[in-house]
Amino acid sequence: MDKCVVGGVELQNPLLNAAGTMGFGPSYADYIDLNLLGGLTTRTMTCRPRGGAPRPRLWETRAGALNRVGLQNPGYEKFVSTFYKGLAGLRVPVIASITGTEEEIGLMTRALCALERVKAIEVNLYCEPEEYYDMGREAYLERCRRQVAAAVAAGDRPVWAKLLPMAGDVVETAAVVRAAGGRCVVCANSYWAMALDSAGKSRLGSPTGGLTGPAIKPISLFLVQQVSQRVDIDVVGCGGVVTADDVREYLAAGAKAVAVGTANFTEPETIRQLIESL
Amino acid sequence: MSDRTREYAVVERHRTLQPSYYELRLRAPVIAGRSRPGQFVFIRVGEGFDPLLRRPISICDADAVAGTITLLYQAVGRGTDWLSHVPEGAQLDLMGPIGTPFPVEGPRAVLVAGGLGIAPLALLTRQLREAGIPVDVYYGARDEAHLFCRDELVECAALHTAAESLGQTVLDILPERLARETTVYACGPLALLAAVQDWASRSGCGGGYVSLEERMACGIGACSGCGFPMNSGRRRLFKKVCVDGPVFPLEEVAFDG
Repeated sequence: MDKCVVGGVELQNPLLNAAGTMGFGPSYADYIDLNLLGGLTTRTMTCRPRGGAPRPRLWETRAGALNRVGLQNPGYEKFVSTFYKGLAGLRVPVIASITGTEEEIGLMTRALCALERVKAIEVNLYCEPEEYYDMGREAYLERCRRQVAAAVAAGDRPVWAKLLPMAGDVVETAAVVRAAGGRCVVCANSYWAMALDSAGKSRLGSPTGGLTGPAIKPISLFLVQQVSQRVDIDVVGCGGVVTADDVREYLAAGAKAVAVGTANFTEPETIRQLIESL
Repeated sequence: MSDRTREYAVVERHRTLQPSYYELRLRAPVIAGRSRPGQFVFIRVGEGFDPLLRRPISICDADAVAGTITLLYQAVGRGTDWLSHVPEGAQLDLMGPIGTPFPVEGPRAVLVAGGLGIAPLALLTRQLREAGIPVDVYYGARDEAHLFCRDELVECAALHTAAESLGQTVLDILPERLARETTVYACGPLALLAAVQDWASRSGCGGGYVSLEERMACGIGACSGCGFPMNSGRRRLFKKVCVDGPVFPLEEVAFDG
């Protein structure tokens, strides 16, 4: 697998982990050499610590997993002061995933850009479905524009954005990201979805969750192709990758790099195996 | 530094204890040598990616000399159904041992188990006994036939059992008062654990520990999918059952959260 430059970041190979699937790195170091990755994406950080969503947070579906973790994270200051030190031996770029209001994104971006290993800021354009339908597509797009612009203005690192596939139209969102100065879109986050028990009650502690895993791959692949063809921005394919053929499909659809998510849970050495077989 | 590793274990013995309840003995020398009571193994189920996620199963016994671990489980869904059909001689892909174990604390121990909650407590019973700590085990199940590990428990502890078929739950046989120097250990269904928390706080004991079960995705502390609410002073916070637990101080768990 060759070196590549994706969204303004030099990667030793085009395989990343998806945000939220490897924490801040060290938990996976028992199972995979993180220096094999093209880059390490952190879990999404917020300005203040977040406790997250009520339990249970997971439900397995056919070839998929539904989750609503609710962005539980210790807050970016804890990352800067503590977890970043756990990455001392890491030689590959760190992509710092964040979300919040414009002001919060500005604050976090300034602090994260002071860290040498952080080579890109990934703005997670996350929104809960209830919130999205209340605000509507126009307001959501405007919020995305402001979030990306805030990161671009606050730091000196390339800004990436994680597209939320069921909020509005990802092609339109990708164009907004580009116009706001974003260099790359990760296509895409999980799909709003749900699972009910026989009494009609959610299987999760929340009414809805996000669907990931092999079940979603054909849909994300389609979105990668549409965004690649219609918007002049680098695309990282993300969604349901488990095999080398999945990676080849994403690259053929126009992705410059590919992020592996849920497969890491099942097979913690997935990324190493993919690198060896490609 | 964690003890966890990856090991391909060979199924040495796989037997049906009761319909849908199984005992699985695995040759896994590295994990067997490192396992402590309360820890679990995270088992790959299925041949491909459906079922998708690994299954966490408590270590019921670990024999470092023989290089084996024993698991008790119930087939309750697609993953454990698949597991129940794995033949002797086959290989299983394990991650483990994972999790914060039960601390072995004396000078007296009272263990409360409901159903398969006996699994991590069986190994704990042995270790408490080896540490010279007298143990009382209170163990309830749906009927006599579902009270597993009885021979091993009787060797190491005073065993008190309750069978729902005879109109008793384990809560009915618990002593009202405990000596201050007693440590309570519990594992079982959430409703039972909530009741045990309540009982322990009234009993006069010095405190205790509980082992929780939760659905998991990564199993190693990365994804926060197994977050469980805990009381921390006046605040609520979510801890990860996989690595912060599965064993937590009894008073910390927010069963109503």
